Amino acid sequence: MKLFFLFFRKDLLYYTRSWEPLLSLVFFVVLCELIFYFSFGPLFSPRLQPSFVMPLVWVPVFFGGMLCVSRTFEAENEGRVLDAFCLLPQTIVPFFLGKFFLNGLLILFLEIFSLCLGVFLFNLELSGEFFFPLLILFLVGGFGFACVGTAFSAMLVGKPKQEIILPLLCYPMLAPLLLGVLHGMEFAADGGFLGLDQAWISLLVGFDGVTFLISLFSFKLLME
Amino acid sequence: MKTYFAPILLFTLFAANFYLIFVVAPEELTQGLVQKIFYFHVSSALAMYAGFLAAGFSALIYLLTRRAMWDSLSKATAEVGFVFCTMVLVSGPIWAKPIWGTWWTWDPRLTTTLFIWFLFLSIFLLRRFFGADPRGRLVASVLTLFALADLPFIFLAVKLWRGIHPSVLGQEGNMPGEMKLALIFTNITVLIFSGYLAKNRYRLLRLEHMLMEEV
Repeated sequence: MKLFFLFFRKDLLYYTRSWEPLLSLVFFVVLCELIFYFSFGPLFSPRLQPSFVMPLVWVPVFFGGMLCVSRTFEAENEGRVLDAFCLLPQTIVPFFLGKFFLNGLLILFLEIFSLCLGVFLFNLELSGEFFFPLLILFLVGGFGFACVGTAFSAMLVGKPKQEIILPLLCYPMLAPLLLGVLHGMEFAADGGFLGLDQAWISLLVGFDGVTFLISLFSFKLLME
Repeated sequence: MKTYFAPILLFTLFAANFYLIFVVAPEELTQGLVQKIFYFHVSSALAMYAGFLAAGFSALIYLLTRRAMWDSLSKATAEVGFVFCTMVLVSGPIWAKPIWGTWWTWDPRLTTTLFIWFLFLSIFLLRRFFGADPRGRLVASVLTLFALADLPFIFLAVKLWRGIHPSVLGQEGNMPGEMKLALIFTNITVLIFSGYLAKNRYRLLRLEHMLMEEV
């Protein structure tokens, strides 16, 4: 546990010491939403159903999250620091958990930022009862994305052209997550209550659980 | 004689198969001749899933044992599964155009089959990306495991969407006996064929591997 907090704190410091990595992610999300706004501008009106607009809020996160996970092992790749961590078997799991939770936190931040920007740009009016289901969707969506992204980033660490191949690997794998979050948001925006027995949430929770276990298992294998 | 046994057997099976499909099985009332694509479409889908399951389990065994033969088996069965997935995606639109009036719809089952196709294309891309690097075998096996775990969730997405894809199978009284016989026979034939392809591909990969080791 102590090792996990040390790794997590180290990576958090990396993002907060220099704000450039975080700012680039935020800027990317802003650009994506602006592009959506310019593309679909004539369709937007105060009478527009939130169920149409809400999924658009998550799509920039889906793309921006890839930028986030592609840098997961950037710092450790220099000077063979990654090899040094992997020499000690007891550091592998805390190391993965630290990276995974940081990615999850960053994606959650992007989701919340994208939602706020979406409310501003698309004139969304969200009632209070919508926030709880939305929070659940953001958490399970971000969790699953972070799982897959961290594990796949570990597979390609140190290889050239990683930025090209990583999205090609991740996006097909994340298809159930994308469908679940987008349809869940559509459902919630139409006034549906997302309880734990709701099918999309069950799908996402199951996906997250399975991918987390496989990510952990595969990370240990990849680092040994 | 032993070398020719499998091709002769397959030839015979396919000949019997075509007879069952085009002569024995009746033509469907509303769809006509184009309905007969259904036999190849369904059997290709079966071979696709069989290939992917075999690839996934072989990848898992490779990860546990690190014996190269299991990686070769995983690669061979994934390739065969990919070929049959392509056949599903091609035969489906050929049937869909005269029946639905469109080559492609974003029907859930079509969409998920496309996702599966992308999943396995990404695995082949990854193998090419790593080239001769032995780490590529490990990474590809991990990715295949991920893909196998992803399959049920893709399936669930289909159920949740409840698309327009016909669900003939599992419904009682929908198919006459001759059609059922033709379908079962086609499934068996195509599965044997896919096994034959996988076996030969595996043999080629093992020979390549042995040659690389000697060099």
